[in-house]
Amino acid sequence: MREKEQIRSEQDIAAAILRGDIASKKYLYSCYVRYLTAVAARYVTDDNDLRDVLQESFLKIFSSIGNFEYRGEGSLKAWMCRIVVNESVGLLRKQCRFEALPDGDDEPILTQEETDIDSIPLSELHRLIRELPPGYRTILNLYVFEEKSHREIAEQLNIKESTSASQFHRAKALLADKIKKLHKHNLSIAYEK
Amino acid sequence: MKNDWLKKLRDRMADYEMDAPDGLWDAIEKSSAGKRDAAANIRRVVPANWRRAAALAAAAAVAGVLLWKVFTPASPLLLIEPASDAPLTSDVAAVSGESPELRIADAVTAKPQGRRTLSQPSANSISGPQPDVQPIACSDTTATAPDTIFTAPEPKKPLSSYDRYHDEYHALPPLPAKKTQHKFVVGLNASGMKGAGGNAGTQSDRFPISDCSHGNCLASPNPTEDALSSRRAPAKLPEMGKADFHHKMPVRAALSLSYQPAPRWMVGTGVTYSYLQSDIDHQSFMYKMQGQQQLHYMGVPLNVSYLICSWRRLNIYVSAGGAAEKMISGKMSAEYKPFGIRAEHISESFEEKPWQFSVNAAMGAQLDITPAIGLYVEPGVSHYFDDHSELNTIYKDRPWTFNLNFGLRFTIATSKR
Repeated sequence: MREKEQIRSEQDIAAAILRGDIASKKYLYSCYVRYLTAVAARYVTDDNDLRDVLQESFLKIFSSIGNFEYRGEGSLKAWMCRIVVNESVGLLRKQCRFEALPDGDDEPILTQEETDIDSIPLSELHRLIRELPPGYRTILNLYVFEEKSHREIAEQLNIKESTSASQFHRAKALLADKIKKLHKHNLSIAYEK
Repeated sequence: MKNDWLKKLRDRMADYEMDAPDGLWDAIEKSSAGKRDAAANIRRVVPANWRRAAALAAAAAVAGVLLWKVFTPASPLLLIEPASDAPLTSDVAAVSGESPELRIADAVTAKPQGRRTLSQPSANSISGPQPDVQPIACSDTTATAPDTIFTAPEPKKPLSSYDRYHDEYHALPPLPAKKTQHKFVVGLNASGMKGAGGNAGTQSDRFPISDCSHGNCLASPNPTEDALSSRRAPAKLPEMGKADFHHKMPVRAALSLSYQPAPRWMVGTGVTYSYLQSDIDHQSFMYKMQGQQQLHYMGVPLNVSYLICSWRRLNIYVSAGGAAEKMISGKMSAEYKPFGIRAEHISESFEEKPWQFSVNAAMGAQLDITPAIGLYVEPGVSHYFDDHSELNTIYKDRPWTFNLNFGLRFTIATSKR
């Protein structure tokens, strides 16, 4: 029954927004803005850019709600997430910021150990992802969180599929290294205590 | 390396939330209201492509009328210009070496039953039916008032055809006393000024930028191969993002050959060469790139010109026409500066060599330095059609351009027998 209520809820919201009901827009915004902010923030690190991406995303969501097709529970959330991801990636590509990796880090250590993330808070994991260089970060996000294939990523970013794969490998290794360093840091703090 | 921890990462962070930026909803609301107002205030404007279509249709109509006037027999010009082997008055006079004015004046003042200095025209003396212009010569000796010999619609007064022509067209230079000549004109011209004029800087959406990620450029022993991965679309640059193209004004040189089928008309063709240069720059989070695109075109133009008026040695005319050009070679060269790595130089020749079609209209002024040599300047407007290629050229960014042609024309006169 809860699912049925949610179905009515998502479809009703969409229908109301299509009619131009502002209260429904506010409601949708309130329900999902924190989630969508977290999604966008994985891609876009600058606060002003983040704000722009979210603003544009919501405007796009409201204006193209007519294109949304309900496909089960959570489909509205997923649809909005896709819009936010596309806006984020679009902004990154448009900006083309020139960013240098620190010297010596262009060949991240490829550790064979299993990376332990259980003990790391989500906010820390989120922060570590945001710390990745934009190219690595974008591809890792698209592969891991949006579950896109390297072929789809290559099409979206207009790169070769092999490039997406190799970039993803480096990104993963870099993130693993960061997590490992964070563990060491936490451990050293624990010992100090 | 296993991906289990990444799967775990995804699952753990699936519903992760964080605080939205302050004032975001207000900004959304404001922006949304602004867009609604803008939508309400949009004026009805004719879409740009309709305007272009209308202008093209107008240019085509003008060109069509000009061409029609050249080839339509019902033209007062034919009073002067012999259109066939059968002699008309002026031609008779011309053949006999006498001044045409005199002969025509004789014809005008001749009484209907008086002597005829005019020859009998053949049935085909003037090609096609002539509702407005009757043959000057007539076999009918019955009463015909002198002022009705010329049955052209205007004017009725018994002017010589030369005088009438002179009056109508305001100071047209005197007709040569010799037989009518047809002229060939060879021209050399140039247009555009390299490096001068506006730069059409543009961000191009048409050029998705491919490949050569940082990783590949570092690792690959042959960055050229990775970078220029697509041979199909030469303008693809090896980077993520979009490149800025700064187009320089095209430079064109032409050799033209024109023919004068009638005193005021010129029909011409020739060969043109154009050089298009664009500076490209691009920055991404991978690296920085600066480059240059160089395109070479050769083409064949077709133009029709009409002389509006002449004064002493200065001739003012209008012309319209089109051109078909083919890219004969194109090259893009760039320097890539990935961070931490020394710069790479990459150069690629374009495989795609599209055709470029255009139409143009211009007004020109020609100064005849000598009877055979003229110096001209010709400001005009051109429209370049989309070549449906992936190339980024100034013609794509500015299909309508103003151009300034200048050059020399050499007249080679040949006589009609």
